[in-house]
Amino acid sequence: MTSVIPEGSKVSQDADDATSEERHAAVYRPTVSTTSRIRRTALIVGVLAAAAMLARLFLGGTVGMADNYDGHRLTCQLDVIVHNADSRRAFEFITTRYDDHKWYGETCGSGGEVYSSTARYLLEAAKAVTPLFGYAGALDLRVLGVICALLFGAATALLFVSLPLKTWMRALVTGLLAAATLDSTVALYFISPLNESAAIVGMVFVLAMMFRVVRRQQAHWADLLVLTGVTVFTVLAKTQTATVVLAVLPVLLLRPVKLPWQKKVWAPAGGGLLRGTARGLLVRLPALALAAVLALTTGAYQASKPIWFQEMYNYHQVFVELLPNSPTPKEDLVELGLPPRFVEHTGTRLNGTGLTWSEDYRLFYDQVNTPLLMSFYARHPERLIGMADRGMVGMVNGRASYLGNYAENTGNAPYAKDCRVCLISGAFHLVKPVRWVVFPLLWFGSIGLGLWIATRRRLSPGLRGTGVILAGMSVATLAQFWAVMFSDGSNDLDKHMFFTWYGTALLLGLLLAALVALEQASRPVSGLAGVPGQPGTVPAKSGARPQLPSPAKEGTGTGSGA
Amino acid sequence: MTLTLPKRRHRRAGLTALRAALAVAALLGATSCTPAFTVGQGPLATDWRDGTCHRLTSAFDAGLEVVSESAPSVGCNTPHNTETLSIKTLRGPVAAYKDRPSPFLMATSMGPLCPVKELADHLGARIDQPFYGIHVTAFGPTRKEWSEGVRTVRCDAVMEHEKGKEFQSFMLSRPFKDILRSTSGTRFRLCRTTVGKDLRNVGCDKPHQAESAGFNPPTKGLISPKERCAKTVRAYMGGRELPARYALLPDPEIAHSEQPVHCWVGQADKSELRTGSLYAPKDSAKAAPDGAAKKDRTKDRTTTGGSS
Repeated sequence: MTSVIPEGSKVSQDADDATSEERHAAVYRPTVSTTSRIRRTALIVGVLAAAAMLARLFLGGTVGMADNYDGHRLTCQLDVIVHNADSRRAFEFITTRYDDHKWYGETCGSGGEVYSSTARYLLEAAKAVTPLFGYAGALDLRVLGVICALLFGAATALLFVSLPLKTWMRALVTGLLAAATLDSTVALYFISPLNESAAIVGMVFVLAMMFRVVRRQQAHWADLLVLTGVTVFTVLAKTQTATVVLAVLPVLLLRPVKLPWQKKVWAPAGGGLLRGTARGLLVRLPALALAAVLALTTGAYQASKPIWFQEMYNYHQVFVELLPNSPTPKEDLVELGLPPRFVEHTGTRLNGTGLTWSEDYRLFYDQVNTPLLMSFYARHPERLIGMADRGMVGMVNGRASYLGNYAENTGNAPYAKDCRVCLISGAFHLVKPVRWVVFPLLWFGSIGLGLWIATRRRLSPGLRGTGVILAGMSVATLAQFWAVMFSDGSNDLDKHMFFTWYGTALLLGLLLAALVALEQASRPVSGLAGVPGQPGTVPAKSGARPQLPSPAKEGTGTGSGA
Repeated sequence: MTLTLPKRRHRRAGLTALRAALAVAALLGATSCTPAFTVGQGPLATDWRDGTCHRLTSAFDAGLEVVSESAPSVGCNTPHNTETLSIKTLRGPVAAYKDRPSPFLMATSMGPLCPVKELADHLGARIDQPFYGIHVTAFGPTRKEWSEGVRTVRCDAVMEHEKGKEFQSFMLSRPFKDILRSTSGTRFRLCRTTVGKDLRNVGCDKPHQAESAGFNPPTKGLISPKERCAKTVRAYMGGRELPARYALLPDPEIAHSEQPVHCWVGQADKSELRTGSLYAPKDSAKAAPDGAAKKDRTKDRTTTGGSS
C-alpha cells in the first residue's frame, strides 16, 4: 500500500482508518502499478549490477588486490593461512587460495591484540561456500568476490528502488553510483583478504538505506533500524570508515519516526518553540536512541583498535608527513618536545631502520600523542596547504602502487594494475593538474548545493533528502580526507586515500541526483507529485502548503512503498 | 473477508511485534553463532624453560608485530627452528607500563637483554668467528601474562629462512648446541658468492666462492694479513694445511697490526663454486688425519661456472 501525502501535509492522528486507506488506493492506483514496475526494474538492475561486477572481476582472468599483510590479521582468525605463505610473491601478485592452519598464541591478531572487522563475516561465508565451488584449499577469495558481487547487486537494486527520481533518471544515477564501485580502484578489494571489501559493500547499502529513510515525510522504524545496522556493519569493517557516521546521523534524525503505537504516546500540544522542540524530540526518540547506539559503537570500535596503530600514526605523522615537508624540521622537533637530533630519522618508517630501534625511541613513544600533534597544526595552519595538496594527489592515485592485481603465472608483470573499468579513476587522473579547482569545487559545491536543496520546502521529502545525503556524504568525505592526513599522513597515502576517492566518486552520482531534483523543482506539478517513483514538486502558492483533497487525512508517509 | 477495525489493529500490532522479535532474534543469533574475534589458539602462556625447542611455522610467526611465542614446545630432536638460550627479566621504565607496550618498544627494550654472544656460545662459535642463517630473538610475555605482572624475557636462537622459500624447510632435527664445533654446522657457516657485481653472504651448504674462517684479532709485530690469516685458517681446519687449490683472501689485504682482518678462504680458480665447508674440529688432523679429510671431501662438492 502506498500513501502519497506530500511534504507539508498535516499528518492525521487517524491514520489507520481503513475506509480512507481504501479510498486512497482507489484514487492513487497509478502509484501502485508504478511501484510494482520499479520493483521489477530494480530486480533487473540488481542482476545487471551483480553480473557487471562478476564480469569485471573474472572475465579475462581473475583480478583482485594483493595483501599488504593486513589481510593476514583477519584471515588467521578463520584458521587458515595463505597458500605458499613464505614462497609466494606477496605484494607483486594476488593469492586467492588459503589452506587450513592452526595459529597459536598471539601469532594471530595484531601485536597481541584482537583485530576485529565485519569483513570476517564475509570471509567466513566465503570459507563455508568454497567447497561448493570445487576450489582447492579451505578458502578461496574468488568465492568472496562472488559473494561481494551478489551483495553489491542487491544493494544496487535497493538503491534503485529508493532513489526519489523518475525511472530513467534512477537508472542514470544508479549507473553512475555503480560505476564508482565497479571502478578498478574499488572493485578489486572484493577479491582480497583486506577489510575494505566489507566497507565497500556496507557503503552501498548505507547509501541505499539513506535514500529509503528520507523518501517519506516520516521515517519507518524498520528502515531506521536497517540503516543503523548497515552503518554499524560499515563502521566496524575498518576504523577508517568511522567518518560515514557523519553522513548517516543527519539522515537518522531528519524525519520524525512512524511508530505503530505513536498515537498512544503523549506529545505536548500547542505552539511555541519549546513545545515544538519537545514534540520534535519526542517523535525522534527512536532515531535518537539509534543514533546514540551508532555513535557509541563507533567510539567503542575506535577505542578497541590495536594500540600500536596510534603509535604508528604518531611516528609517521612526525617523520613521514611533518618533518620532510617542513622548512624548519629541527625547530618543529623542539616545539614537539623532542631532541633536534631526531631530525636524522626524517623519512623513516616505524618498521624501518629509524628511531624505532634506538634507545631514544621511548622518548618519542612517551612524548608524542594526537593532541600534541593537533595543537602543533593549530599553531601552524599554513602547513595544511601542502598537506591538502599531497592528500589530493594521493586521492587521485587512490590505490597502492606496491600491490599487484593479478595472480602469478598469468603472464602479467609483478605489481601489474588492472584497469578494466577506469572511468572515474581515469577522469580523476585527467583533472589532476587542476585538482585545486575541481575537487574543492566538488566537495564544497556538494555541501552548498545539498544544503540549499535540503532547505527548499517546495520540494518533496525525497528530493530534499537527496540534498541532505549529498551534503552529508561530502562532509564525510572531507572528514575522511583529513582523518587520513592527520593520522598516517603521507605514509602509504595512495592506499589510505581509497575511501576519500570512493566518497568523491560517489558524489558524482549524488550530484546528478541533486541536479535532477533541481530540474524537477522547476517543473509544473504532475498528478503524481510527491510520489517517489514519479516525483515532482509540491505546488506552492505564496508559500502555502498544498493539501491533497481527500486522502490527506489517512496516510502518514510519503513514499513509494517499494 | 473483511476484518473489523479492532481485529485489523490487533493483527497489525501482532505483525509489528513479530517483526521486532524476528529482528532481535536475528541479531542475537548472529552474535551468538559467530565465533568471537580472537588472537590465536592456546592458553597464551609462554614456556619459560631454558633449553626448550620450538617451531615457528611461517614468517608470520616471526613478524615484527609478534612479541610472544606461546605455542607448545617440541622435542629438540624433532624439526624445530628455535631454541631457548636463556631467560631474563625486563627491568626499568618499560617494565613499569601497566599495559604491555607496543611490539616496537618491546623489541627495543628486550633486544639488549639477548646479546649475540649468548648465541655464539650456544652454537660453539669462537668469539672471532662469524656465523650465518641464525640470529637471537627476544620473546616477551603475552599481554595476558604482562597484565598478571610477568616481565620475563626469553632469548631464543632462531633459524633464518630464505626469502621466497618455505619456512618449514629451514628446520633442524637436532639441538643447535655446539653445532659449530661439529661438521654438522655447515649451513650456519659464513660463505660468500658473487651475484652480478655484488658479494652476497650465503651458508656454506650453498655454492660459494669463499668461506670465512673468522677474524684474526689485532696482533703485535709486523705480520702481513696473509700470514695472520694462515694461522687463523689452520686453526679453523683443525690443524690441517690448506690444500693448494685454495687461496687465502684476507679482508682487507693491507692492514695495520692493530686492525682486525677477516680471513676468507677461496678457490684459486675464482670461477669455481664449491659447496661444503673446510672446517674440521680442533686436532682432528692428528686424531684422524685421513678420516676427517675424507669425510670433508665427501661433503665438499665442487662445480665450475658462473655465480648463482
